[in-house]
Amino acid sequence: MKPAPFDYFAPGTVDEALALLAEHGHEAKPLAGGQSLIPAMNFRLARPQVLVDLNQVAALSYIRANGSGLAIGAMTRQRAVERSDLVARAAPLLAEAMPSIAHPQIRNRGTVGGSLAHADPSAELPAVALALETRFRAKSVTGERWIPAGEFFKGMLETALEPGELLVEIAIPPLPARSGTAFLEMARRHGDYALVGVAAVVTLDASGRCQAARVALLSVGDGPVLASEAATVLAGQAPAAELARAAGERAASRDVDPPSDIHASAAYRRRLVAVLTRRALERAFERAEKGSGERGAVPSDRKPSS
Amino acid sequence: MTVEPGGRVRLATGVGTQGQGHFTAFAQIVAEVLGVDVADVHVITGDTREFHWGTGTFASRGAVVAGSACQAAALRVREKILELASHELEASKADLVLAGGSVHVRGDPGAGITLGALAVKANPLRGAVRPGTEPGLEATAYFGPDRGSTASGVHAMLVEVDPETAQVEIRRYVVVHDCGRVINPMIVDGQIHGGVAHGIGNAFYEQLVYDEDGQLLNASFMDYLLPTATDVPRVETAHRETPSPLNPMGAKGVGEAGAIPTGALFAQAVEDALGRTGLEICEIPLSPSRLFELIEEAR
Repeated sequence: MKPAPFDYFAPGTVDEALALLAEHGHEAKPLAGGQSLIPAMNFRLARPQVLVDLNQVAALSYIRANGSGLAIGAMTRQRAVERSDLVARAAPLLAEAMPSIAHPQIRNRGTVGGSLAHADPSAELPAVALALETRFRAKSVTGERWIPAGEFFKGMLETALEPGELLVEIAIPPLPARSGTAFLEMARRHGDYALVGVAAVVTLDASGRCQAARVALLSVGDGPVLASEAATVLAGQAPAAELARAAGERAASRDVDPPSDIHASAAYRRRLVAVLTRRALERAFERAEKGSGERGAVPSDRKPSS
Repeated sequence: MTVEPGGRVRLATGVGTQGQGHFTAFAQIVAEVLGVDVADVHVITGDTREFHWGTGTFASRGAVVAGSACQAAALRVREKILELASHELEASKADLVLAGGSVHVRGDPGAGITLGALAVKANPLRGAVRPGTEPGLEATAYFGPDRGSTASGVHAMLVEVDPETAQVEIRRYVVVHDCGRVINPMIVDGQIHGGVAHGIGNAFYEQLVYDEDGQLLNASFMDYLLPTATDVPRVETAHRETPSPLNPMGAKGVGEAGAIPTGALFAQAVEDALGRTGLEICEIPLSPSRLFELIEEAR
């Protein structure tokens, strides 16, 4: 199918883009990589009257060290993040999750900001952003504000962004010493939306016990789900297979109320939450124990970019 | 089938084609009978102006039925070629050889006559139609076998099942098959590979899902899952050639050998991988979610 008629603008700067978004308000939709918006328009599930194409806004495409954390421009292609040595060092969880996003062709076009602002509950980046306590920088003609990940995702395809506001950057803080991360997901076929995915971050204290844990799940709700019940199971405990299992079971029974769809029943998704959370935690703990650097361990089994 | 004055052989068949390699395989059959280059045989399908009897390609009838008809037509044209060449070259038919797009007397390849030149001489305007003969180097032939020629084969599959997630990965897939005489090994391998891919789709991915109002829920290829290159293992194939007695070429169908056993094989392999759970799988298509339910029920 073809999209409904729309007006098209291709600004060259952030200010021009913000002016257009202010002028057209809720009728306008920013176009980033177009990997979700364009199919939705072609199916006529989305009918924006105005498209503000950000692809000419070169200033929004960057990956920078930000202290010992990371700053990533909203229009940075997913493939650039996947291939970035800086990302691999400073945010190994993000690096590990990237190959699970669809296919290389899609990651070549798809952007970090586009995926986050689209807020698909099955997408990898929102869960990773939530697990890493990412902050979202939103700009409009009236100013800018920083939104924490916990407040950014509001529900199915909904974020805290107001009409006229544009996501321009995300900031990923550094992880404390003795931290480890892991990303795991299961999909029907390679590149499909995950049936369930999990992003795990753990930090050990000086005695080797779990000081902090953040587990974010995808494809189990209206948005990325922070498994806070699972985190309470982990707090203050020494890493062990039994602990990871208990946290996984708790996440499955208390943290999620997953949907049924044609690809997976709710009961099956719950099982995947328990199994994948356990496996991700085991891997994250192992990396936290091995890792010496303050940025957490670089995943040893990260696939080379193809 | 017609030999054109330019020397090209024109073959029209009523069997439909959707990528099975008919243009190549039928050309090979004809080229072998007439002693011409395969590239000089022009095959036409799906055009009722060229040939109006016909049906689709299914039930393993491409090589067996249409291929045998092509061969029969080629043999009749060959007979006309020999008849005319025998007159032109003043030699007995038994002494004539068809090779390289020409006819020559055995032992004298220099003094031949091309099929194109013979086609010109067979044109009735040149007075070639003598009593008891027909114009042109052309023939129409049909083939209707008494019974189907059933291919046989053995498939073996090695799967790895994650008992916790019910995810299945196919580690190895081997097919030894017998489609009688192999006309073109590359096409036969391709048919087997494509068939196995379809079979894997039937077994683990493809399913039309309707809601209670009859609305199809997966009407796009985003939700109707076809196996892709990353989901289909490398298929190892080996040929056995036991000619069928039921048609002159000894061919059997190859289109079904890849797809038919795959679903049952997949279910049995998964059952075997899950070992002592007592699980008996009697259905396809499976999915990890469905397999999870079956494993839970068997507990």
